[in-house]
Amino acid sequence: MPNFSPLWTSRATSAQRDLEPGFLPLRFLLLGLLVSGLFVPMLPASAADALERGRALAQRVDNRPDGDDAASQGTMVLSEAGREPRVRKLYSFRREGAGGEVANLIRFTAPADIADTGLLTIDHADGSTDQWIYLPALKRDRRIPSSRRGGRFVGSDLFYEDLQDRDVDEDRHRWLREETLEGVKTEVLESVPIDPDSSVYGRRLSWIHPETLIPMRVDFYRPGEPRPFKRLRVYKVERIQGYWTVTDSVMKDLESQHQTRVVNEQTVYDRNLPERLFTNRALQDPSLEQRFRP
Amino acid sequence: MLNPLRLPPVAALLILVVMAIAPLVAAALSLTINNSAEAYVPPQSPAAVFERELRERFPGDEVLVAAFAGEQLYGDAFLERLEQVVAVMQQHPLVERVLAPETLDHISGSVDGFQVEPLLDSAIRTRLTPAERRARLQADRFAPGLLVSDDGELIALAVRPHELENSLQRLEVEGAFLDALGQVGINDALVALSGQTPLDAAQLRATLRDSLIFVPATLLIGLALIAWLFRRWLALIAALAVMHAAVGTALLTLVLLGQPFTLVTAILPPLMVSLSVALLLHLYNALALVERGSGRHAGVGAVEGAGAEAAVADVAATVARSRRVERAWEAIHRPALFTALTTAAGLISLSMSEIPPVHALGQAAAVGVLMLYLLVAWVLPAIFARWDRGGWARPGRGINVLDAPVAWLRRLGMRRPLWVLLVTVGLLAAGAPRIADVEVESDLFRFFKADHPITQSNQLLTEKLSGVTALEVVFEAPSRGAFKELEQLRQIQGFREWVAGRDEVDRVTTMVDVIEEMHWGFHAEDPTNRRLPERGDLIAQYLFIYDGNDLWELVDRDFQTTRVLLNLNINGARQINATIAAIEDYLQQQPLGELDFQTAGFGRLFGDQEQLLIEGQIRGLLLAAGLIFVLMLVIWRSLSAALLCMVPNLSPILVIFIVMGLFGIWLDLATAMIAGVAVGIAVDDTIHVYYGYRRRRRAGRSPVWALARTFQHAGRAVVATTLILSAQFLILGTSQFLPTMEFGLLTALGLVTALLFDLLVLPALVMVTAGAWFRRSTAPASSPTGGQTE
Repeated sequence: MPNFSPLWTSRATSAQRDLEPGFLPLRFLLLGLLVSGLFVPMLPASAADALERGRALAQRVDNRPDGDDAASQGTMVLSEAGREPRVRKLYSFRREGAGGEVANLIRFTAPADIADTGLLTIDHADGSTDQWIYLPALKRDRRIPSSRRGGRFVGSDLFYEDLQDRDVDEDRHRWLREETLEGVKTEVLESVPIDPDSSVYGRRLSWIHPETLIPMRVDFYRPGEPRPFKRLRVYKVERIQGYWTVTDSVMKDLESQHQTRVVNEQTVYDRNLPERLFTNRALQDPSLEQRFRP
Repeated sequence: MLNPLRLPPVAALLILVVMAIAPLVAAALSLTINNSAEAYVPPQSPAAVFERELRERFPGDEVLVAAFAGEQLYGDAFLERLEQVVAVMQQHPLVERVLAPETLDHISGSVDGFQVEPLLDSAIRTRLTPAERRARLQADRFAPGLLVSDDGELIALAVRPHELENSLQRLEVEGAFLDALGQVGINDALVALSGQTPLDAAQLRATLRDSLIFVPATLLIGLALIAWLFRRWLALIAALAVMHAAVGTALLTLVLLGQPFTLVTAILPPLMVSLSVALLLHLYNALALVERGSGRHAGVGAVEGAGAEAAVADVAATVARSRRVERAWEAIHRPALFTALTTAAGLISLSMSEIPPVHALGQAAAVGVLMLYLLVAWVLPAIFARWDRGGWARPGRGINVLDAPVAWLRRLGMRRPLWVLLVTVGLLAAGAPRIADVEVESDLFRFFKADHPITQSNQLLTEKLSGVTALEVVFEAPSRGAFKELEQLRQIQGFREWVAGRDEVDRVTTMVDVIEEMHWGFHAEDPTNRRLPERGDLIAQYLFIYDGNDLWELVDRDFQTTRVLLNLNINGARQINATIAAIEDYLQQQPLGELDFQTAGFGRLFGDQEQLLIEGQIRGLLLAAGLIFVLMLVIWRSLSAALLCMVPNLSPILVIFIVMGLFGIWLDLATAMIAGVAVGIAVDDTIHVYYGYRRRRRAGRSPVWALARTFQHAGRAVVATTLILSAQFLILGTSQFLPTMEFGLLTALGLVTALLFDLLVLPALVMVTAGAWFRRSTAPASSPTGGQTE
């Protein structure tokens, strides 16, 4: 499987010196919808150009081919200075519905005391999201309100918002500049929520590779703050079944230096995952999904 | 032989000017101000080391707590503004987190849902009525006692700063908070502002205010007395320069020691000013007396006789200016050296304290005293020899009133020595048991008077919310994941139940509370499920999906270290230590297995001061006594004389402790300094008196005659010096800040007591012992009935 570029491979290697082996569950979990946007024409011509170009770029990122469905196996590694990393194994499934609905199911398999804990997320076409969490020890699931965007997903550096679909039109996008990142040419895109209450972030800056349309780096800002507090870095991208797929990325809390590495060990696209796999019944019964695991 | 007059006058002037300006400027530019609990703990002490380790994993416990009251407390207008204040403070670079209704996690559940959400943010607020908002806050597991009072009459928030480096930063945080309140217009609703940050800010303000009042006040008193006694412009200007040099040197030493300006080291400026006046008086007395008197009086008499009546009008005119200064210098430089060394010894005894500010105060003041001696004995003479023109005034008539009591005391001591000694011993023996009543206790809130806003705020918060003294009990397990296990969590739960039952514990927060809330939320808020689950895997899954922030302030992400947060309604170090001891006793009796525990936080650091104060005080007093005794041995070259001179200097310490016991004055950070300072200063008078006595005895005079003559000359000098110093310390007694007030009053008491011992007990001791050893140790004396002339 070809690497994205020699330089990226090199970067991934250096990053791996510092990190435990791991993997990314699903590209969409983290990246697929981080960059999207709405364009509102502004007064100055150059500013208007930047907004137009930004929205177009965001739309292209949103439209990037990623299959009708995908099933992945991976590892989530939580690290902080001076501490042994904590490793979780998981499977994840994604399915895009005909009406624009996107469904995700994440199932943890290790460590043993949390095995079978699951999260089901349904991003509706109207922008609303439903989420349920399943605890096997209780044998019941519970709805998590969509307003809980800023909650940390299973104690990681990923917020629930990072796991949700975000429509391009929910943000105002602005193309800022071209920039070489680790030797690779990228385009820098700024995305600001039109409704500040719709996101836990006040602003996002994305360094997008123009050919794969994958954000190689995303800086996350709290509302009103000049410095980012979180940063996503993509360290490895592979082409799987013709789809560019992030297989190694790190989300880092820039204040605590705590970081979450997600390594995608195996991904299979377009297996016609059934709709019933993304229901509360399936969430409560891990056996239903087992034959679809990669 | 070294002679200060060999120093070129211009060089001397240059040295004086540079020393008056440079150290003070350098100190002003580099001195930091830090009064935090950490500043009072030895950096390498186990508690301090553990505290630093803990703060790498958990946030600090320093907070600014603000409480609000009003009729519309739960209305949109107030809550919106409170949210704006929270937003402003969250943005402040020195602020780590603001604990407020909108930032605190609230766990809830429904038939099919579960959530961890803000307790009361703008989105939740808009769907609730004011009464529902109040009920929501009061019903929360964590808000009562922290963010809302039990009766709902107060709403509070807590601003938690990052680890602050100094008191100015605390002042900045407090100022930013008050500004934010002012900008949104809810400062009228603020009814209490307390916690360590405002407390330190209040101490800083009190310390600086006292410095601004009392440094000029002591300086003016000293200058006014010098002006009254000597009426010489040069004397005044030189005194001002010497005072500046002494204060600057001491403060610069503080900087070089790496110590900040604290409420303890704030004593340095007025102390150095007072010591400057004391030493200068001896030089000026000598100069005045040489001018007025014969050369015969310029020796010991010059030191002793501020008001010597033997004025021979024409003698001064015949003495060349430099000869006059030289003779004055010859008279004072040895006793000045002795007194400088003994004062420095008394002060250096403070460095036996492990409390860094007390330690630094002793060293800095000792260096300042030695600088004082160098300037007065080795720099000023050249200046006076070159530029001192005109006559020195006779001391004001007022000082003559001192003669009668001095003579009466001296006669009483000499004529009824046994009675004096017996009564003195009797009084000390009667008072001694009260020393046992002296409480070793430090309470930072008690430093302020009852009507001070910080004291009233603390009372209100303690009554309506919870005490602001934070204590942490930290549990550590040998392996990660331990605090996901039921067995370990039950230990924490058991400890929580026990400690919550103690009267001094207002509030307990543990990770078990969070788990219980999750269990309750996952069971549709069924009250019977507000408990620790029975299954370990369920606990692990709750903790796995927990997506709030507050849990991570109670346990680390490895679930290997957890801390139990306590809010105590006590503020004294001894009381805090009693609670710590009780906690340790309890936990040691529990089957904790491999769990280790330690106490930490502000309460622990502050509590440690109690033991440090006692140890420092005992070691310091022993060192002071030892050093002064050795110096006396060197000076007198007589064991008996050295022992005899220790009596009038150690007894005032007894008197100070007796008075502290009688009046319930605590041995705390402020009063721990008094013994060292008082004994260091008081010993000067003993040296001056005994120096004169010995000189006359060596000249072959009888003990009675030598004593009488010495007191005739030295009495006024020691009384005048003591009165000036006491006046300077007494004025500190007018401070509204208790550490300054108690330090001033008790030091003045120590000095006056030492004077009484010098004037009354020392003659009595000499009379009683003279027959025993003077006949052996000195040349054959003349008849004790006297009759000789000096």
